[in-house]
Amino acid sequence: MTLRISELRFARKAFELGPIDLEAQGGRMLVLIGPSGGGKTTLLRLIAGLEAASGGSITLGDDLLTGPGTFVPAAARRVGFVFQGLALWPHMKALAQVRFAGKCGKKEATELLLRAGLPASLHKRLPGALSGGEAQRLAVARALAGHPRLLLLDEPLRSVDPHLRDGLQRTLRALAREGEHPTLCVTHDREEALALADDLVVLAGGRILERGRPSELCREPRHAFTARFLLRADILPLQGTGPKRGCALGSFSVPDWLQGEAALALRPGDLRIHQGDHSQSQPKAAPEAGPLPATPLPASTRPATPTTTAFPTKTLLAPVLDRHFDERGCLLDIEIEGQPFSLLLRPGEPIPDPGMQVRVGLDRTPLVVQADGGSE
Amino acid sequence: MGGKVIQSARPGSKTFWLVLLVFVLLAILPLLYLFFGSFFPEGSFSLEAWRKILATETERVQLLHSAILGGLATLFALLLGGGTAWLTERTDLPMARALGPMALLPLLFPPIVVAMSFADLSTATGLPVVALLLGVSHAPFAAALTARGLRSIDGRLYESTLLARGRLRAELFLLRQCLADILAGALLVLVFVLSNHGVPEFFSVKKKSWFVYSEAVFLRWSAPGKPGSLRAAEAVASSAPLLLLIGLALLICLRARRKGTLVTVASDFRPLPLRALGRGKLPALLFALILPLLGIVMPLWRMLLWSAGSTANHGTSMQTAIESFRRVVTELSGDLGYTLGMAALAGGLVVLVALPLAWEAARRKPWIEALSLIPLAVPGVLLGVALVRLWNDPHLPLARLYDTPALLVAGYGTRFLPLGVLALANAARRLPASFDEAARLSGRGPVLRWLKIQGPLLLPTAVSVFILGYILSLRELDLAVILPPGNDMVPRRLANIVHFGNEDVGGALAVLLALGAALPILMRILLTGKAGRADL
Repeated sequence: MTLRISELRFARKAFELGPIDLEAQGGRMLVLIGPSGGGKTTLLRLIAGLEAASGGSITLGDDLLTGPGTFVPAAARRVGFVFQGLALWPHMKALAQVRFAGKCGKKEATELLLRAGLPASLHKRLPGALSGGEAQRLAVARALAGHPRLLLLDEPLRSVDPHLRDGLQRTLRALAREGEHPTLCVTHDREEALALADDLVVLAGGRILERGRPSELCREPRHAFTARFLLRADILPLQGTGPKRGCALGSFSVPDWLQGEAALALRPGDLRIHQGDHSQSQPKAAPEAGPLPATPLPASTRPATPTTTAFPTKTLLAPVLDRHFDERGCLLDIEIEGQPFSLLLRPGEPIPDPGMQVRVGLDRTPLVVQADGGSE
Repeated sequence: MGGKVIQSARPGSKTFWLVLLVFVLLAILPLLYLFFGSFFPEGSFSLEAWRKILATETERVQLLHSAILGGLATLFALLLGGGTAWLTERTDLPMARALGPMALLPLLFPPIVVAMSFADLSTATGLPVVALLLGVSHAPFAAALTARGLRSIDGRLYESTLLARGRLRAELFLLRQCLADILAGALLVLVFVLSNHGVPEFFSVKKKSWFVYSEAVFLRWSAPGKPGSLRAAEAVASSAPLLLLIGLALLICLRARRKGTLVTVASDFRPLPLRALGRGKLPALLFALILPLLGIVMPLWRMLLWSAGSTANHGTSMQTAIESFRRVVTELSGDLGYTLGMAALAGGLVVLVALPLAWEAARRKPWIEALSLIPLAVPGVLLGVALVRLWNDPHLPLARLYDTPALLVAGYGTRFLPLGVLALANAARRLPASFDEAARLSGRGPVLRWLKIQGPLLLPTAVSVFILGYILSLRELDLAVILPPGNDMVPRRLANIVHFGNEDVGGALAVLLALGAALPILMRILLTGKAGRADL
């Protein structure tokens, strides 16, 4: 079963979505990522038939759900939907919710709940008596009831404690892959998107910015937003219009596919400090057991696109604004051209104090991406 | 499914239009019929009746008295009802769980009974006294809505203001947050007080020297002349100032309610933290007892004494009391049963008509709320006359129902429908749209979705609306006086019995009426353990 969306458009007041072209394969999870207000939930609602599109078509398998002169109501689409707030009916016990949604018997409903990971001891509880993770599993089971031909998940792990997410992500991946239905998931959480997606689509400002496998988008994002979202990169605009464009860190070749404004996407590990050139006091040594090496990026399956040439060795003095730790190690906030940038210190590297000036330069090839504003 | 056009007909729209038609027939058409008739006195177009509105000094003074009485009564209701709600919801007041619902008990006795009980104790007849009595009698509206407003505020909002700006600012913030609900409660009190003529008129017997506009309106309707006469047209026109005053209050009330805090049932919500009263516990407890004392204990005590013969020369005795109750049970049990039955049917009608209207008002057509307020905006007597005129017209098919209890049920149901629409629309707004969407995606039809999802979620409010319609029907005097099938209604019987000096039977009847009014509340408490004031 394949979901095909073609030239889909929607407009309400100042908000416009589309045109959207998309294809989601059965047995795979397509994750839509993007900022809040970008149109992700609206797209899911259009697919579910909860909103009417102003143009374009939606086809599921051989059935036209939305198109010129055709609108199949939500009730007839056989779509499973996990709502953002879960929308569990507060007066109905877990088992009854699944039975009502799926028009199924007790046995089938029990099996669905167990498949979604909700133990039998909780089947007779009201949603208010379930924890966030348990309620989430109930919402998934309810969405799967009635053998949906398409599963839509709107921020499915939003209300779940971080330590419970791994288990739920495993469940969602398994459920998406074991059926023939396509699964579309909306999130603005990077970890969640990477953990769940077979295919990723970046949606912002009502338009698709880019799409691909998670590994491809992580290795070679083409858009500043994608680099920021997936790689936690900071964006430094490149000046000029030709094939070579410059900034404070040097001059960079712009790939052929890139039209319009270009920018450097600087991942925290792209910059490094040139030692012995601190302008104020000597830095402290980093703690021995502290920082971890930066996580290597997944291998690409997308044909390689030359995005950069060899990087320049130009350095510049940058003030240290702040420093903090995360799972990658110690990160410095430094200022380049009036903007804050993150710099990941290597293990054992001394930690400069805020207020100091450090000389920084590139340590590896930076990514050249489309600046904000363009679309696919 | 492929390529086929499937109409997405909105579920329930036919029901809505049908119910709207019923509403128009019950409320709008009779009033329009009466209103347009006033422009054609004696068969030809004339504005004569409308030119005479507020033409005399007396009428203008009466309207001013109405405004003062309404304002004062609202103030008393806010002070007693709102104050009690604040104490029971916001503080560690002892017995708060019992005192909260007790603030609603004054609804059990008609305002006229509260007035009669007071007159039994004191000779005071000034405007402030009547305002206090009407304020007490209608304070439950202020109490219920203030409590609802306080319960809708997330405690974290209050705490963050407390941490940032201190205690005084936090309390002011709280007041601002529930101001819409407080205002809505106050305006409902004002609406009922402005259209009440029974209590001010009762004190005329006690030699009061001032009059309010609703008394004048009722007086005109007591002898309105032949239908179609100039006098009848003047009676309609004379209601206009009162209608404008009440209509204005209702529209402000509606706006206030819309602006009020709204907590959906799916929200992550933390109730307000309770404030410690410390040494203020005893005074606060005494204050919270004022409303139940004046609104329920005083009338119950006086009515029981009446039934025991306190107004007769031979003094009170248990035997007289037993005899009074025996007489009521043997002679008036039919009337009592008829009254309770009519009130129950009216309550049911309010729920049945209000439910689809409220659902549409909450989801798609907010103008329904404003439209539904009309029956409450017109004085009860005017609505009664409008129904009589329309249903008594032999040319219309409704004429057959004129002498039947259906007219009475329709009158009560129409009169209190606005409260049902407001409460149910508010409850419907609190249900996230995604509840229905989730049910729609399951492929279930509209009827099953109503029965399984919306129905059970709206049921507590529907029950509260039924109880409210039922109780208010038992308090309503104007419609019982105007509508022919209202002759046997207990509030009217009570007024007659007392008028003719049978206070012992009247006292027993009033007590039994209050017990009858309390019946559904008691049943609800027995079945669910809750009084249900939060659902209004």
